Amino acid sequence: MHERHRGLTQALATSYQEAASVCLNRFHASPLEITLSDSGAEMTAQLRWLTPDARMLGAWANATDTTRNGAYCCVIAGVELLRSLVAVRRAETGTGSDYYVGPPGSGQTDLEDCLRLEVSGVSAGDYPDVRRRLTEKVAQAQRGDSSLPALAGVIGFSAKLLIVEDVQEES
Amino acid sequence: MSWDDHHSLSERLAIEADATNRTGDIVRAQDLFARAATEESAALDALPQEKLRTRGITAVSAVALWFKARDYVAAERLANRCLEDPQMPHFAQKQLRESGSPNTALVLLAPQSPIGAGQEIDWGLTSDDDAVFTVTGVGVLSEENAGKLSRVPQSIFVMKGNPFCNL
Repeated sequence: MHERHRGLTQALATSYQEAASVCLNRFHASPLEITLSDSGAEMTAQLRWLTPDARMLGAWANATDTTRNGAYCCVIAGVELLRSLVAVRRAETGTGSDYYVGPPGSGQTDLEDCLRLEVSGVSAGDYPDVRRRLTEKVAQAQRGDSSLPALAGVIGFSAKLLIVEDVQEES
Repeated sequence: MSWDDHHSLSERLAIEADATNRTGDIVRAQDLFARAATEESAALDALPQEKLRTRGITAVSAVALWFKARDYVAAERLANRCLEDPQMPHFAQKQLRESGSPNTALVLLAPQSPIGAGQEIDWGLTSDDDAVFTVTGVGVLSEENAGKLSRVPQSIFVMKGNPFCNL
């Protein structure tokens, strides 16, 4: 991922991929077909991962950190597949949960084409739980700022569902 | 040096600072955050006025890094300078204004005695005298945020200039 996503170093991408494999391994075996939903339009995608060994499971024993980092991996990959946008940089705002994404090649001389990406992961929930989390993230992004275009993305690891939605400005 | 040169260096320093923070070497982490903030501030100065979105994102990043370096004077000075710029985008103005407001932190450790508004607490991460914050309020953790945590916190404090905002 780091070769396409300027905002991910190789070490960071590897770390996120490890976390995602641990999250998926809680409920499923590779390969796995998941549903991608983008503003109501649905498609399917196949996920493949290396089954984590005991050492990796131990290293990722903190469920909160693992779900968050696994979500970064899956949502950033999903946004690339659905919107052809790549991670350009991590948002250094202190809230610690979002990236800036843009077209491939962007972010080298400026961030003028970039959007904010709010990311979240739901480990054990079902479809309504993932939808509910997306609604929360959209509301969070709307509160965060209203003039910088934003996307919200949520992965449900158990639910096999990844949803991406534009954040509309608050009226 | 260009915006990209300064900004890329800032990103590398901030990543190193985060990693150093996790090892417990808070003093070195603060130094790295300060260097990252210096580079991000230089990146901001290297941008032409018409790069509005980039200026906004970079300004917010630089102020956030000064907070992480616990240099509140530098953070406030830069935030005020940016807020005086009429070209600063609305989203950045909003975030820069909020950067100087009280914000919320979870405190996972149980205090030795009850803490209320107006009291000063030593954050306890370093022996640095600067790591003392005045509590402006004591909050209640929402069910939503509690569900995101691996441990249930003992207290939530609202503190002015808190660089460890985690809610």
